[in-house]
Amino acid sequence: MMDNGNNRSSKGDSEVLEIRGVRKSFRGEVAVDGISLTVHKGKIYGLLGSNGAGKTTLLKILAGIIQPESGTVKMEGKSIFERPEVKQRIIFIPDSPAFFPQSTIKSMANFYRSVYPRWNQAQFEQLGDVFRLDTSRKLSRFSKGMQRQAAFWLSLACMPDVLVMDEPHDGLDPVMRRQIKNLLFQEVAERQLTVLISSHNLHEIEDICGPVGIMHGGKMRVEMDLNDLKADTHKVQVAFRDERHERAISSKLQVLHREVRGSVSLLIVRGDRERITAAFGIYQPYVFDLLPLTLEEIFIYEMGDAGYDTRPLLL
Amino acid sequence: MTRARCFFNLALIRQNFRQYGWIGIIYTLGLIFAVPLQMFMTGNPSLFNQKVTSLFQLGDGMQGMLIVLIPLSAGLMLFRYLQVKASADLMHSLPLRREHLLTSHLGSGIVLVLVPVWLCAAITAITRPWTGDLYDFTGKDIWTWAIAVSVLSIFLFCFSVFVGICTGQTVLQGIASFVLLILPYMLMQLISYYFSLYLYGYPYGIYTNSIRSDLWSPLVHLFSVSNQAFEVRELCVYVGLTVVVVALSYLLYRKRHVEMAGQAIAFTYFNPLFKAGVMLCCMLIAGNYFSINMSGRLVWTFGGYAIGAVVGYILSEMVIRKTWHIMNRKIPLDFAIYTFLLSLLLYIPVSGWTGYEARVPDEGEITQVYAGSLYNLYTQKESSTNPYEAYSPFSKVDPFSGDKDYIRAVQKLHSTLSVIRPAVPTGKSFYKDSRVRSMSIVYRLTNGHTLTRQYQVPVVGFEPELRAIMETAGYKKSEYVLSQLEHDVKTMNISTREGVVVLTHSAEINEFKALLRQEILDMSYADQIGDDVPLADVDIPITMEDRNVISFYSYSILPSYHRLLNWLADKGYSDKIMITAKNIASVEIAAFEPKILQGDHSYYYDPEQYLAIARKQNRSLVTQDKDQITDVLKYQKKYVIRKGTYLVKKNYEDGSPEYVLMETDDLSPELRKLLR
Repeated sequence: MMDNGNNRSSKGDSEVLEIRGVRKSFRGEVAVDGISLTVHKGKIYGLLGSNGAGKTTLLKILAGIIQPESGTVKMEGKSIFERPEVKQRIIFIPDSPAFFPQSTIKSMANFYRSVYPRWNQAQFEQLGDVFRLDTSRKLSRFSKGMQRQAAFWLSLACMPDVLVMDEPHDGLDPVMRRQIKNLLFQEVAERQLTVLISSHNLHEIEDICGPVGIMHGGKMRVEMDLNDLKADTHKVQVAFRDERHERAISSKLQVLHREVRGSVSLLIVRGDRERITAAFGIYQPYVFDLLPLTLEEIFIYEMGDAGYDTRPLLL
Repeated sequence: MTRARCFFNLALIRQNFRQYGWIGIIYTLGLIFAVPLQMFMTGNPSLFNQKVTSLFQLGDGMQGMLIVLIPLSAGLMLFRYLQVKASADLMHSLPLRREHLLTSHLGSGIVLVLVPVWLCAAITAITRPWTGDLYDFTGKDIWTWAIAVSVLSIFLFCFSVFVGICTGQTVLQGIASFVLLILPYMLMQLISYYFSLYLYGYPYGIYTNSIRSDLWSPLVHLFSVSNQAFEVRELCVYVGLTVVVVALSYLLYRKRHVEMAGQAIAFTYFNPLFKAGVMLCCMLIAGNYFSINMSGRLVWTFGGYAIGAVVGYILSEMVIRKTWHIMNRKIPLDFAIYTFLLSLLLYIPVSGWTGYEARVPDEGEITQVYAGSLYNLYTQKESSTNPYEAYSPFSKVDPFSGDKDYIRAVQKLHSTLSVIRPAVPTGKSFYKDSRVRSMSIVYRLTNGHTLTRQYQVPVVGFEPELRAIMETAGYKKSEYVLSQLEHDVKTMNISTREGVVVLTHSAEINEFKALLRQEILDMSYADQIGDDVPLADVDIPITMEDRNVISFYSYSILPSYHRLLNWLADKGYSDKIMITAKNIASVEIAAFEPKILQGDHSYYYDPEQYLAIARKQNRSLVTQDKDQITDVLKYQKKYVIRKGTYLVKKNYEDGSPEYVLMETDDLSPELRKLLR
């Protein structure tokens, strides 16, 4: 795993984004259902969730585009919606970036320069070396990946304090993905940029995010630091001497998931390593194997817990 | 950042110009083509200089179309960012308040529609000296035009912006803007037609004639702007409306949810209004349609309103939900509630509760009265853009009379009608007895109001009431346009198909006019209601000097005008023009008998066909006997289809036919014997 910027910043940093009890529904369907969330300065927050979990809605609320029905959304204590002085410090990159019709990178840059007071022309020009896109070509003729690069380029030149990105990895090639990842780390390290990324691409999130939230059905299921999450959830392969032992274990530890393969059971168990080892040790199982979980496994098991699991397919 | 800079975001405005500058260019080119260029364009160099009272007269309707289409589409284009999800997100994520977004977009749009107008006005002013004086107008006319077009362009642009904020789709924004701008006029028409169907005495013909349709819809007015320029008070109304829609736009935009992009209606609390509006229009259209085409059969009429309600409901639900799968459990109840409320809304005005049909003013309330069939002509407004003050025999004539007997007679007929409500024969039976008088009754009341009603009065059964009215001088003066005879005229024509006598001597003209006037005033009820064939027509021809005279009323000389006929005979004019037996080669006579047609009644309406059938059955008779022809000329009546009478075809010497009718009693015994 890469060393990400998050680990460098010490804990107890100031809170940049604070969301409390936010709720939003569209035509009677609840998209975001009473979500609370805190993002600290200089962190890269990963927002995971099933399709239709309400991630995009939440991000648009954060960007001050959508007004929530209830709850508060604040950046450094100030509400965001309809507050230009706050919004000029937040940039939102949607899952498919939008520009003015007929515009080029140059004309968009000119526009952003006069709308975002913190626009940094030097930064914009420097980033030109990274992205190497034709600034006079119409953006509508760019491929999806190039448009995303352009959006990223323009956004960074606005010098935001908060960058909100919806599915930023779609359509980017691996080289560009790494470039952007590095740029993000650089910005986070240099000027304490706070980033919020929503994705269902777990590998990408795993690489860069510190704190992670998993959403399902408009609600936040799990919210914790990815490293803590990994330290806190384990996969155990075990063969007990007596079937009753398994039931006993269930009452002592929080078992998220259980699969039986012959005499060997596969359990996903919450708790730290020592405690789990000790708990199992009492029953002296024939087999005991403790493995770390991948983010993907965590996601699937958490979702299974929330009633969103992979159903066996008959093909 | 100063306040003004903050509200008018220059970057946004620049962006708008870059994106939508073409709208301004098209508008400029279009207006230049429709106004200054027209001054140079004529294929006829010898055409005399035309006085124009307004620059709107140039360009034949092209101006109206441009002034409607360009500002409305500017509203659609500039506010498209609201209706497309991606651009709505982009715009609303910018660090700008909605007031700034709206102000900047409104500002850009107003500049885009205003610059072309004033540019065009400037070009018109500059090029005027070189246009060869084809059109005669002043600098003031240019100012008036530019101000009027500016007001209208800004209003239409702001209106489509307002609609755009209320809707979530560009297509719907365009349709709704257009429909809403025509709706007041359409609704007036539909409702007044609806009233004419269900309110006895409702003066539909007078109402539709008197209503200034252009005042009820800027679009209707703009499409006919070359006939009728905009008045100051009208423009003031549009300025006021602009202020209202802009204020509402700011208010509603603050409450608009960005995620409504793509939805039909952006504010769910407008949905009931939308649904009710669409349903009402559909009910009126379908109900009116079926009651016209199924001639008032009750099942069809109610069916029409029901169909309208269903169609309107489904249509509005489909638009709101953006799908045609609208059926669910709640629908029937929802539909029932809407239909019930709208039916009530439609029923109450035509129910007896309003007292509209029964209202007959007391004699004490009435100051003056009008009764007759020409009310529309007397109240017709002349077009204000017409360079010459138009004159018709009806202009500036007050057809009302304060004569007590007249008032009492009209009131008597009115109260009888309001109680009896005679059925007017329609359809086939109409031809059996076409004796129905169209009677408009208008009272001027002491409280300054007027009360207007219109009735179709069957002659049969209402003779006493009609006679009382029709024999008054007040009625005859207006119904036979006697005011026209008060004017000085240079010539008068007395004509028949055989020739014209032109009176030019002023003493003779005055003598003739006085006689004619007296004959008309002395006409009996029977003369007026009868079917006597006029012996000659009297016209006051329009001469080149009276360029402002647009029409004249022509009088008929009836066989009962004995004094006048004697005068014509004394002067020797009768011999020149009056039709006698020697002008007619032969007459053909056949009885109007249903048995001749053997059930096919359609031939009743084609006298030649009817005669052809009668001829085949040997039931027609041709005679060249001059005495018989003289008899025919003496007793002939106007041709109508009535059982028990005789159809007569007169074959003139020049070969042309004319059809008249004779009563059985008037047929000479010889003819009667021959026809047996």
